[in-house]
Amino acid sequence: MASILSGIRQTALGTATAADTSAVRTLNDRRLFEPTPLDDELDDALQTYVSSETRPRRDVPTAPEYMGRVYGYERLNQLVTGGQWRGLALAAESTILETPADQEHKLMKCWTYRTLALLQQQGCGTLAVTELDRLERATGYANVARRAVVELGRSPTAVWPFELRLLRAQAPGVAAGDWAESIARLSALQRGCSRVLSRPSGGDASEEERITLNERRVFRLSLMIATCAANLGDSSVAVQTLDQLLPADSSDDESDVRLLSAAARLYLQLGGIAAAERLFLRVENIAPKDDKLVLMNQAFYAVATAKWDVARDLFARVFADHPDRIAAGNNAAVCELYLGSPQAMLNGLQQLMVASPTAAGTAEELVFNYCTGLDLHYDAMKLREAKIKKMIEVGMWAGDGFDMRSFKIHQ
Amino acid sequence: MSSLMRETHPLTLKVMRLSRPTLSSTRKFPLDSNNSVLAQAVQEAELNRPTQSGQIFSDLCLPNEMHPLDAFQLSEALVLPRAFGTMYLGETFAAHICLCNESNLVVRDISVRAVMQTATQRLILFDSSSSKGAGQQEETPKILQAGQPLNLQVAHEIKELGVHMLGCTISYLSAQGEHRSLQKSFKFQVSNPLVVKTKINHLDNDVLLEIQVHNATQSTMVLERLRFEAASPFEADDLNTVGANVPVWCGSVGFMQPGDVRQYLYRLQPQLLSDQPSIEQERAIKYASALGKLDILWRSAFGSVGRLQTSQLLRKSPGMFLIEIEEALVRGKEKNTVLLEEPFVVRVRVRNVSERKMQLSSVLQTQKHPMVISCGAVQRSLGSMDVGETKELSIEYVSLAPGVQRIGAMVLSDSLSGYARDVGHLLDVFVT
Repeated sequence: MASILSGIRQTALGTATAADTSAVRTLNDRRLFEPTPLDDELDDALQTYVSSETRPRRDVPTAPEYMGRVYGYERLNQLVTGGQWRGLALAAESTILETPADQEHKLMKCWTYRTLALLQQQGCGTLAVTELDRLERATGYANVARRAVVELGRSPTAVWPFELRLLRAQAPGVAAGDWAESIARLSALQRGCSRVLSRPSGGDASEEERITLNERRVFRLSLMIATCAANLGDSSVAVQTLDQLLPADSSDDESDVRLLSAAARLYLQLGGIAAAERLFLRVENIAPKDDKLVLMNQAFYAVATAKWDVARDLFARVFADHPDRIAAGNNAAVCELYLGSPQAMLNGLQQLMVASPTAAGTAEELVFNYCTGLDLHYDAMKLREAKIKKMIEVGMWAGDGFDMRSFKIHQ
Repeated sequence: MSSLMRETHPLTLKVMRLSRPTLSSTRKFPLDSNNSVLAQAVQEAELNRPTQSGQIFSDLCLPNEMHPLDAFQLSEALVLPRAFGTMYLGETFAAHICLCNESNLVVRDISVRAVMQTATQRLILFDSSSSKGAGQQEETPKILQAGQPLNLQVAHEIKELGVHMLGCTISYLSAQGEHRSLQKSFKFQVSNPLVVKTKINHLDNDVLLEIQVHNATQSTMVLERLRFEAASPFEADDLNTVGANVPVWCGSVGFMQPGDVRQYLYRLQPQLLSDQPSIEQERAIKYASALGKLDILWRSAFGSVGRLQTSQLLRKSPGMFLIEIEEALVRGKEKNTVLLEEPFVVRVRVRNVSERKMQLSSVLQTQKHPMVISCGAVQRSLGSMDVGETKELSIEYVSLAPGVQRIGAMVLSDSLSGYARDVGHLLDVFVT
């Protein structure tokens, strides 16, 4: 069913003609684009399992409604906020095609939106990689880049917005699981930022800003490298990279508490309970005892040591004080299962999702946990009905690219 | 999880393994601190998708954030296990059993029994009729109303490899007054999480024990405890620390990835009751084959615990010669260093550790070490030796070549019993 529907909906907008082999020299060339896929797994599932009378209305974009228009950043940001990745891909593409070639700064920003949309949409990562490769070659010919490449010897991507360079670095991992290539690209970016930092400082305000910017970039890149290493399965590199960012044992700087907590949570994920405990204790020495960060850390530690009632109470306390912390509510519900009551878990998750349908109701983790509870409690027709009901509720609010594996519908 | 069709039973039975939850991974929006293209959109998007944020929240106001954590992968949301996973020896199998009355009628006289069957044993994990079971704080209900579930949890420490079967039997009285039974089995395989290899090196009476531990699982683990408990008559010295007792395997190298191998080293020394051990004590040490046991505790994702104790690690005992060479050294020379073509004397102390008196003699085997020649008699008589008695023998040598040279090949023999010990060499000397 899905392949038939995608065959109907897929657009030919921006398809390169096979016979045209001349070099692409501008950033708004039609030949830079791959056809934008417009199928969506959630849409397809709703078509399959839900009758037209009860099926929620979802925004299904078509190429003609976006073609030939220029979209402002406000509209593009709205599409990001709403998770409308198909619409964002089409809007960015249309804006690029309609923007004059000499407005390179605007074109590069629109390419950032386009690439983000393709990487966020399930199964479109390879399209993003293909387009980025073409864009890199085209950038070498563009007005700004020509000077950078020819006269200054820089890579064509040096004129890209930094966020687009980050997307380019992440793309191999996201698209094809090639996390080693992503690490290589992120490391190259990090070396570039470090070279900037090593230049002598003039001491003026712009220099200070440049230093701060690159220090933060180096920090972010280290976190991204640690993430890719963890995805690659190399936990030693992930931990080592994170360890290098941690402050000295003697530090009692408040700004370190979040980084210490982040590292501790990664250690818990990998089984390093003792190492996590040491970092949690450092946080407790710095932050107030009733800080929600401290309570969440204590709760995670309780999960790791199988003290489910303690964990549940701590998570529930954080959620009661901060109802916007959906994760705390989710975690308290999960603890109920380990305490022997899947019904309490289902009730807790459903309450969260009803109270906050756009946030909790479309959170893949909550939907997965909820469907796991359904699998345990129901069978056959009742199970199917309950899951389809949940799919309808999610379909009313979820954007594009919702991970359908959350419903466990084919198991 | 699986169940039988409702056409045959009003009850459904589902089982879920309770392995640890994990933190979900987020989809990352890459951000830059200045001139960001996406920052404003991402901030608003995170309000709609709070569980997809890697942000870590505190009540503290942190205005000048030098350590932006928007690129951090893990969210704060726990996710239940996605699959049964692999079960390993030494772990605890914990499961949630959910029995539900899916019909519109009342079901009575319910009894539940959960049994773990392995190749060698059958263990009752839960039996509602005898109140046996883990995690049950109240009596199991005997009646289920329409739509009512019954939840219970069982746990079992896995102590065997191979196929395990969790068998659940539910007996009940249907609404029609019929005694019925619902049975379901759940089979799973238990694999070996660690492969332990040993290598033994003898150093006089001491033993250097090398232990290799290989992570044979599919996930990262941390060896929280690896302790060697030496068997009598040995005591173990842990050589796996550096500096001020800092473990070798700590920090980032403390995490063992799938396939990783760790090497540990222990020195086992005999527990001596006195400075002059008796022959019986020495014999016990030399002939001891059991070295000790390893006690290993590891943790994997989110603290999931496993524990194993090996059987006794064995060695091929070196045994004892009836004539022991207690000491062999170059008289008056430091570190057995001698000069080329200058005579030196080697003092050898031998001891009768047999159970009878000996009439001892020695014959030097000079042909085995041609670059070092002996001066004096090749054949010597040491006379009568009682049990436990020691005697000294002095032999003069001259080295004809520089470098490290082996000396002292000889045969020690007892003319009373006919016993002879062939000594390949006594010691090494450094000739300059």
